[in-house]
Amino acid sequence: MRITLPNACAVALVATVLFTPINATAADATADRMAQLEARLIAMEARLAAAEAGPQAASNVSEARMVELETRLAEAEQETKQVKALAATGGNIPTSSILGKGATFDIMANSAWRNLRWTQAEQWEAVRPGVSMAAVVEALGHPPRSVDSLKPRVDEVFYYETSIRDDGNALRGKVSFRNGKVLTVQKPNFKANKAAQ
Amino acid sequence: MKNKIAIASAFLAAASFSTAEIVINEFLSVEGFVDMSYSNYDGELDSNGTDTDESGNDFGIDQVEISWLFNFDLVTAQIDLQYEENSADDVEVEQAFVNYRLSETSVITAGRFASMLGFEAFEPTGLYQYSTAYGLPAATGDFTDGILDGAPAGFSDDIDDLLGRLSSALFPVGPRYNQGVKYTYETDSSFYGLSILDGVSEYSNGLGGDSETDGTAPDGGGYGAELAAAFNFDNGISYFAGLAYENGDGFTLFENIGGIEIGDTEQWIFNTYVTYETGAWLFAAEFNYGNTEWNDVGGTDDLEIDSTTALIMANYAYSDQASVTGRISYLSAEGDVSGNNNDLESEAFKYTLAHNYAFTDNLLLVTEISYTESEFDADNGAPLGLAAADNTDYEEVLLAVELLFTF
Repeated sequence: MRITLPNACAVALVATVLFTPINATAADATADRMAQLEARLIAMEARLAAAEAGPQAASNVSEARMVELETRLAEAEQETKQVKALAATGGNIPTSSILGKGATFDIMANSAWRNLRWTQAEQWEAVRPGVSMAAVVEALGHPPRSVDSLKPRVDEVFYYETSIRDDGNALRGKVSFRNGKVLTVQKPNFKANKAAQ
Repeated sequence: MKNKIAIASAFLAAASFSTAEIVINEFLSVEGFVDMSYSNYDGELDSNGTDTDESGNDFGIDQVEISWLFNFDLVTAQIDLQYEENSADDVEVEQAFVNYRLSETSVITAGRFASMLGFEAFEPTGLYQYSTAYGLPAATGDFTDGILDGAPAGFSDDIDDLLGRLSSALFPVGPRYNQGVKYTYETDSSFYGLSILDGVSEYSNGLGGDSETDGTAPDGGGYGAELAAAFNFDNGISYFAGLAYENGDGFTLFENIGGIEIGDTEQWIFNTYVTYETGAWLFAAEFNYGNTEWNDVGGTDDLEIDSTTALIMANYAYSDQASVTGRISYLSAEGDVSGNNNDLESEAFKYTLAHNYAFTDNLLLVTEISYTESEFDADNGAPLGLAAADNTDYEEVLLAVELLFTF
């Protein structure tokens, strides 16, 4: 094919159609999937609670079944968190990706979870004074910013923030360490942030 | 905080990154600092009964440094770019090295990196005071400026070169970056390191010299090595010991005014320190020994310099934001020319009191007052014109205010 103006326009048009993310569709898909997962989670929690509650039921439920249910519940919880974290990115998943939508979704979900799990309030529950630095990274992920503190009784400070600037809508958390253990925790103000939204 | 610098400096210098950083993306982060200060010194020189007073002040940005940190899983790298007020270059590459992690505990490093030796940090972000424990007096530059009035072109560079080399012999442990390859083994409580370098004090940009003796000018080639070990005990005590060795084919002094050839050179440096941290207190003690030999100085004499330097230091954090530090450092050096005993002799004490106040985690104000007293004696046979400085005493008071911003 010769390179002419009409040909170039045609190629550009096709490329645009192929590679433009269908944001609305992707966002809807994310919301649907999250809703499905939460529904499944609620159902499983109810079944598990029922299984654990009544002595009659307990006698009918094998130990293996209990373990299976607990495992599935843990997996579902993790997946729900990942989807929530992904939703925070806007759910922009290019449907035309070479990997296909499902694979891209999983990669982005894992990446988003790795980087953004500190934006979930429940992840901060494990971060308390005395907890190790490794445990903080496990719960919140690696901090977007950190400094070797110049204060005499602090070794290092992890900053978890959506914006360095003093933006009223920004989530901002801070964890300081001394000898590898958490010294102080300043959690993001999730309530104020939700209210602002 | 600064206390961890004490023993961790060996660990950090070994291979791994500081974890303080601004993350740009999955594999690239940056960190750095800006250091600015005002300092004033008042010096009094008494040479053979003749007093000379000298004072001066310095104000401005001392140093700006940005470190680029790359992380590709098993391979990590670091590039430190810095501006230093007293450096000949506007911006220079202070460090540039790549690490390859062989295992959880073993790392191979190649490039230009910091020496493993020395208690005091090489950067102001790790110091407890404004000034370092060892070094020539603040007035040195002003005194040499007086000597240089009317001197031939290039003589100033020659003097700077001589002072740099003598300083390396007198104070062999201090901020130093060399090129080479390093192997480190590190656990939570111990550290071992071995490096092969292009030099230690006198040489760079080569590994070994000319294999053939050409009988003319010095080859200028050399090599160095460092060996270090550190142990971190559970009771707050940390211990470090290190050894450095350099061997080279000589160099030329006073290149711009005819030149004085120096033959083969050799240097040994031993460094050891112990730190003890308990509550808000940190105590440190360091001892260094250096032996430097320059053969065939000017084609005839050999020069050997033995140097002993030491420090004791105590730091007390009296609040969450402030600490005070007291330090006493010491120098004793003897120079021997071709077998004559004690041709050069120098002794100095430096007393330092410093206060640190951290406004925030990344903004620190340091104030310091230091008093240095030193004496220097030289026999008639002393080389390089040093005989003229016989029977010299010098006292100096240094006041400094420093503001440090890190990111």
